[in-house]
Amino acid sequence: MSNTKHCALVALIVVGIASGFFSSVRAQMQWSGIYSFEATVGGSDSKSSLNALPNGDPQLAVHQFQLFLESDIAEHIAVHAKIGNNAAESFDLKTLEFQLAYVDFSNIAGSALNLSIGKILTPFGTFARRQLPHDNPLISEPLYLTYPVSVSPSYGYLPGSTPGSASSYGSKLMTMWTGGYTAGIEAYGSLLREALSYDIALTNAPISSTVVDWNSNKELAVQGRIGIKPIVWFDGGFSFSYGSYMDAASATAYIPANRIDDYKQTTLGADARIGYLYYELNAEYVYNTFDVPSYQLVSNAYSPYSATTILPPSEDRTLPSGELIVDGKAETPFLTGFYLAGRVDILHFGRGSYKHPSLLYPSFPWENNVERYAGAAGYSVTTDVRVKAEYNWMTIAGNSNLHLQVFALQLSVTF
Amino acid sequence: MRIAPIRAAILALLSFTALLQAQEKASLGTIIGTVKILGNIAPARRDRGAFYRSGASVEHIVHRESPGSELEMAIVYLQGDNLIRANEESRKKATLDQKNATFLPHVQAIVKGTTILITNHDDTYHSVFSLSPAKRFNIGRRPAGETVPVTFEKCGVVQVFCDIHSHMTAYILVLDNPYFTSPARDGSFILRDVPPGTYTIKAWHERLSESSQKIEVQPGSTASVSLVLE
Repeated sequence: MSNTKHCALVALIVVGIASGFFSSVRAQMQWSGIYSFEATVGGSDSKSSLNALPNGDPQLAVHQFQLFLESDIAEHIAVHAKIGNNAAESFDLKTLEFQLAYVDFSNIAGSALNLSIGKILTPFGTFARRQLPHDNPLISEPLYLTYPVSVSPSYGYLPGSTPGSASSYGSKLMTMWTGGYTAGIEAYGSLLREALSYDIALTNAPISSTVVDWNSNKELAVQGRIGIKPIVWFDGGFSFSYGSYMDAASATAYIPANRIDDYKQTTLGADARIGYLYYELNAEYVYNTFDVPSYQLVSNAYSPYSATTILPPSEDRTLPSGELIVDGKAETPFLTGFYLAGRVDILHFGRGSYKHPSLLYPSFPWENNVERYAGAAGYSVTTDVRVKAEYNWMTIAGNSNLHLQVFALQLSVTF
Repeated sequence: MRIAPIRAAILALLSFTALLQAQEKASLGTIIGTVKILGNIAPARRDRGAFYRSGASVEHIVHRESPGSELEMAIVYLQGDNLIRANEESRKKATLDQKNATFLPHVQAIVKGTTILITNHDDTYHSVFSLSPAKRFNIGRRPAGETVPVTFEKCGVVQVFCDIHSHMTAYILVLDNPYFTSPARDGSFILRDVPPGTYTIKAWHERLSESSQKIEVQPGSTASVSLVLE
């Protein structure tokens, strides 16, 4: 697969030269943006790593500040970029980053083939593409984008610690890392008058990876979605993502370098959308597995990885989970701009098969099941100004004493 | 044998009416003029990044076809007290079609009280709405071939969008009199049958500051004006 990575780099260089040729025509750049401000208050156990609230205290924060740069440099060639704050990791504006930066080649040779090359939005699923405040009918996002599970890019399975929160042994991954950004080459298009669509990307890493811009791993990943639209009021799709999720640069010394790429994240998704007049219903199911190494205790100390050895590949394990997300939106024709929305989000974790007591291997199931329910109302004052209110509550199995409710108000402005 | 006098009376009446109309025409004036655009005009604004889209992954293909020259997208109209107000006669048939994920026409002017027939000609859904103060409406998702009438009762600029395709926009200028037109590709325009009087003539464009001038129209004569948008 390492040859694949080299071939992809050659392709990038060729396209880069081609785009340089076309860019001799001076392009006109256009900036636009979106800004959202949130006031939130939550239950006493609320915190960022559990339900995206910094803590249970009232908070006033700029949730998203994003600038979009678009420039048509030739008839079918455009440059797109997005600069934004990383709201999933921190709520401050101290750090802005290029979250997207790619060149788009559309209708190549008059065909249904389009290419996006660079740092792109994942083609997996549907929510990554409707996460902006004006597209997301609620304020919160699905758990697969916000809830950290006990898997680490450095260790694999990361036991211990409070559900959802970081461990002292390192950060945890979300099923899809914040924002759904990835880097690579994306081919997309539609066939049969948009009845069938494809969107497939060769990327550095799968959807959970924290290092998408570049990494030291040997292998590439693949992500994609095949969409169908048999009738006007229904469309659906099947998504996939497969690749090495561990970060070669930060993996522990317990894992030999030549085994880093053995640990895969495999994600399959199915989505459906039904729309009719003033009503829209979206459903998405995400099945995910992480392949993790198994460790054996050398001493009796449980402090993981400080006195352990990694077991041979035959002892590697797979950690499964499944998430169902259903959200609906109903507009009111008599009060233009007003709508009601709701979401049910159920994330359940599967059981492992290995029960060896001397292994630092998850108890069963490997995580506590999580469910979140949310209701919201929104009103568009103008096309560019929208206000929303949401109430959501979350439960974590085996932790019935946790108080995880959030009430949030959001003002979002496009400019 | 009584038909002849009746026929003569009818002919006389018709002649009299034609004479009155001719006199009325002769008492009206004409305005000719040109609209110019100074400087570079900013491109149409795109909405919040073409790469985010609500739904199917291929819908972010940007439609770059120009709906016409920028001068053709302007509206020239009159304001003044002597002008005939909007009435049934001036409420002409108006349409707003969606074809290839584009609103056609992109810009149009109507008199208040006009009903526009909004029709989807694409295979995919469109969800046409406006949140403009002059007219807030939302017709919801409509499939191909479906037509929804919307009546515009208040003067002002109505910006229309599609909730599914964020790049789609159209402008409807709702006016209180029928004295308006769109310039030709070269910027020239003509307004006929204008009652004598002093008026304000204005040129409007979606992305430029409105331009206006005072103009006096004499009976049976032609007034000329040059308007600059910048």
